[in-house]
Amino acid sequence: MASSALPRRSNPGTDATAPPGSWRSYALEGVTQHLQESESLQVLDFGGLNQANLDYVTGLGHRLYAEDLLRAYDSFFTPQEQSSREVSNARLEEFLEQTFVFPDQSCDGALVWDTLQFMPLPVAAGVVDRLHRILSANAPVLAFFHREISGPVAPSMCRVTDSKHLSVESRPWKREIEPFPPRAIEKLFGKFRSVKFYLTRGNQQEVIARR
Amino acid sequence: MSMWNRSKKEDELPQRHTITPAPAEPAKEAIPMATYPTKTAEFGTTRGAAVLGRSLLITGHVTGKEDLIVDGRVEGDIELLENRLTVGASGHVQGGIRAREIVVLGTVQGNLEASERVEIKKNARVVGDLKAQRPVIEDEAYFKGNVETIRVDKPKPAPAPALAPEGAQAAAAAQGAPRPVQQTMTPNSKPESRP
Repeated sequence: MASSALPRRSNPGTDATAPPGSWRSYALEGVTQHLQESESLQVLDFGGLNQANLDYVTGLGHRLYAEDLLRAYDSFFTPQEQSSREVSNARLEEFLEQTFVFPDQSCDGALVWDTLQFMPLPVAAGVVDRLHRILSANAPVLAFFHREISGPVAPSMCRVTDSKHLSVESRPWKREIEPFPPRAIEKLFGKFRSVKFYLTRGNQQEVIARR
Repeated sequence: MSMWNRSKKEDELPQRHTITPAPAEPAKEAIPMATYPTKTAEFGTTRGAAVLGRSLLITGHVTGKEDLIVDGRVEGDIELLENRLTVGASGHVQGGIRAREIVVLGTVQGNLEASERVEIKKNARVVGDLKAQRPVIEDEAYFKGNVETIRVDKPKPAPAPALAPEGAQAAAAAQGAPRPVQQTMTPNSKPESRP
């Protein structure tokens, strides 16, 4: 796996092309470039579908599979499993089978946003492992990680405003999240061919991993 | 008689003459109030739509040529190819839906296919694939499945007549004027990347 751990800072203040309320996302740019180069791709959005992402992806002629990964996690695992943040392998496998209903290497890109951080590490690792299985070669995964954690955090609703810009809103609930330093992220995406990091607004870590 | 009084009486006179007694209306039977408005800005016109009430369960294939509002439960496919189907907040459909327009406020477990529009409202829950010309999904609606848009090919416009003779265009090109770029978009084409 090749990784580029040097953070590249995007400065929304100097980006005159940013639509109002949006900022430039270099990791998103990597994904949209991939989407614009190919046709009829199968793209996965795990952040809870919104109209902007739907319009953007289908507007390029691709199919969009949507699943709200956090809601799926909440409805599958019991409150006891969620509070202990430990799940058995059998339960994890059942969750993955139910959530990722795709043949191997049949998908061409995944928008994970910041969902991984809101699940216990074993579940997040299981999700990334399953993504590696269902994604085709060179397919990108876009993920965000909150860096400064002081108490519960609201998950993000990310909207693609154009090929380079995102607008992000907080969803209406908060919860404890897993800290993910860059080394942990590299380890999480260890099976992937490359991982690139970008530091963006709000001190979030943007990550683009390629299968 | 003062001027004011006179004018007041004169104003009143025509009114008295124009008032005609209303014809006696036949006694109306008491009609139960519909739970849905006949017209709302949110759902568009629902006048004349058939309503499947909350306590009703239909098992089997539903087909027809009128708008339908499902407040109850349908276990089976629904096919209203020329009409609108609304799954109300208490409605539950377990089966595929094909209609001209589909609006979901409740729960659907099955594929949705609309020749025009599919709207999935806030708090609705849909598990299945969606195919429509115009899919609209509100925030905090739960949707799990594939979304595919149906492309409608618009008829190609007739080629525009040449605005300037060839000599003038050649002269403009020679002077370094930017040449107009013609880009044709087809449903699955990508914009050309220009160096």
